[in-house]
Amino acid sequence: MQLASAPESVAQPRARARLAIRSQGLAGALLSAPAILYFAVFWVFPFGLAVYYSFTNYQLFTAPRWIGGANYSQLFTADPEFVHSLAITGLFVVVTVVPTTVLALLIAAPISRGGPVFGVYRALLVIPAVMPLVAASVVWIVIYSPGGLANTLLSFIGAPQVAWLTGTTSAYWGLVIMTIWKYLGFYFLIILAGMQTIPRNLYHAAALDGARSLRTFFRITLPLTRRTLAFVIVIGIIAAAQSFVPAYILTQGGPANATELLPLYLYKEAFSFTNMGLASAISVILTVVLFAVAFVQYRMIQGRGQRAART
Amino acid sequence: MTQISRRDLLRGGAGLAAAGGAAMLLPACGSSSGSSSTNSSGTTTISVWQHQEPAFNDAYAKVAAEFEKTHKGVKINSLYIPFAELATKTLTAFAGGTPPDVAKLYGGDFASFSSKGMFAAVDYKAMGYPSLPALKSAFMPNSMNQLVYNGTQYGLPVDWNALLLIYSIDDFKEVGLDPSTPPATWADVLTYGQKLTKRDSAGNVTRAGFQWVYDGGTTWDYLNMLMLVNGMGGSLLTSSGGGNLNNAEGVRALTYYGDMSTKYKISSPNITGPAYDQGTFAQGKVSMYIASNWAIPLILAADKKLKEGVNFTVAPVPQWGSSATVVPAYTYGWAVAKSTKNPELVWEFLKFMESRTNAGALLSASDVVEPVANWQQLNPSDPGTQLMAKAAPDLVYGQPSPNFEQIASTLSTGIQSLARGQTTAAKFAAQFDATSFGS
Repeated sequence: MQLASAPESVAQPRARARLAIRSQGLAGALLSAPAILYFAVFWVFPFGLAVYYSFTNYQLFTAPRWIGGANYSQLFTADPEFVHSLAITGLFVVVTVVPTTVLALLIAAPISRGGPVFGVYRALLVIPAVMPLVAASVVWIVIYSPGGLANTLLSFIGAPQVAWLTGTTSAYWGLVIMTIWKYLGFYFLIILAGMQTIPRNLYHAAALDGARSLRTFFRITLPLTRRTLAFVIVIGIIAAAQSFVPAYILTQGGPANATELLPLYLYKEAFSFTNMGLASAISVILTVVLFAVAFVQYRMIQGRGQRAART
Repeated sequence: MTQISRRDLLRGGAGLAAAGGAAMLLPACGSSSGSSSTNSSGTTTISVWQHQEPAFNDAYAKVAAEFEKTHKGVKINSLYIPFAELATKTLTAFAGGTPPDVAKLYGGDFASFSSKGMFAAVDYKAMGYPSLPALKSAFMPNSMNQLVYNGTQYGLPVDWNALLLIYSIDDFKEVGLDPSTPPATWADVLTYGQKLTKRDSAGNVTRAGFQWVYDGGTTWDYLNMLMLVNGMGGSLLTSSGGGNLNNAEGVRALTYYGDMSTKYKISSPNITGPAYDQGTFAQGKVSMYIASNWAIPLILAADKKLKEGVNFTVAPVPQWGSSATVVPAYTYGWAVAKSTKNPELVWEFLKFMESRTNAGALLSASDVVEPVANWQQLNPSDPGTQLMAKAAPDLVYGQPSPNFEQIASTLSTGIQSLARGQTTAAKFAAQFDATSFGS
């Protein structure tokens, strides 16, 4: 009897375990179903549709007609406005993400040590980040207006007045400054959170070894914040490449298309000219470029992580 | 205390998921159509979209309320949309099958919208006229031209404007110019402009003798070029709708436009202020510019000390002097959605809006012109009104094109670059003509 019942006593927990796993799987599937449904309906399906439209001459009021890669070839061979828009968007990504990340890093490093004064700094830095982008853009229209804060500050230091939103160069850099101001607090918060996970004893050990602040920063803080920085750079690039609101509100892409970033150009083609097919091709190109950038960054981080683990 | 088991949670979660999914899908299934509808209580609603323009919106709302009083069971549901958003919102609403019954839209966009089959042709019978010519005779000659596409009348004019030269009597007196003889030709504008312009020690213009409307959007850039090119006997577009600037008239017009800020330095894209050029004019940063009669109340509002006829006044737009007189004009139009469910009621509403009585009410309350026949008699003492009415035989609106937005945008980019010395007239003219509009 004992011998015969032994397999049963083993089989029962196994069956229970299988049941538990199965019910856990079912629970997981049910709980994630809304998210999957949402993702499929509002992301996968529209993106698939955009890819399809990018190969058609869809004009919003007419049925899409398949034209193969004509939209893509037109963009790269016969549309100087697209090439210009792509170029200024690429530059915009570099000149907003790099300084914002560096500044956020430099500000976060001392603040991560804590202290009552740093709390005030932290709060001040976060204010722009929590402001709605539209409201922030309107505020910057006032700042850049003739006699506004920007030119008042310039006159204090004896610098010449700048036509912030009407000059082609100044409008572009005005947009860059506004974007850095807006996202600095957000990047800072993420980097600060990353720095606060670094074990304190590393700093204590470095201090005992006589390491100075700069050396500690480069030898401990920076390497151990690398993954956080990589994350910040990825989301920064994506946000900058998709930047629409500030350019739309501050300059409408002008003057003379100087601030017509790719999303604004896409919007114009789609909703002003109803060239949905062409606009879809632009969106696909933008998506592919961003995927490629994110993938390369991911591989670089992974590669460095593995090299670090080996050493 | 009731314990919630995992099973309860899962059941609730599944319910929430189902409800959430349904909630996401429901808006797509629901009828949010802006088209006229009659509800169970028998009230018929007409939806009307127009851009935000407080004085006109208020005056219009009073007229609409009058219509509701005289038409029991009818409700006018009005939506005032920021100007920059109106065309896009209307376009997407039509594309999505939820258009308003009536929309007040910029005349330049009528060809584009009409070509997409969005609008119903004007129903003169529903408006009580025996024929379209009879209906047209109820309006000022030429005032309906911009609302025609392929020979079909798709809209009724409202907010009609002819361009005028607005100039500062004070500035004229200051530099010794006779305010009673404003510049009549574009050559005069240069001469007057040189005298009126002020510059700082670095040579930057601090008061523009003559200022183009640089920040008025693509439509103003289009109107400026229409004025210069057509005024010289040319045209912006070929008969087939392609660019037509790479010729003597086009290049000369573009050169003139660009030279104002780059060569003669009597105009400056960097002069900006509140309420666009109305604000800069009121602030004394601009001596002469081109606008229309609607600008007058805005100037007076920008500086309450100013008086029309005392500190500033209006004159006809300058001409080249070598060809026929050309006065650029534009209008907005009431358009009716093809899919409206109550077309007769909608046209009756527009007939009411465009009656002489209501045209007078709108003009006196908001300075917005509904160009009914002899509309100038509704405001006989206003010089701008009389000048605009007198220009009727010389009005030009530009060739209707389904690609108007693209044409105006391309033109705008080019002349903005010209004004900043970043391209040449010949280069841009060739580029404009090489652009394939509509592709």
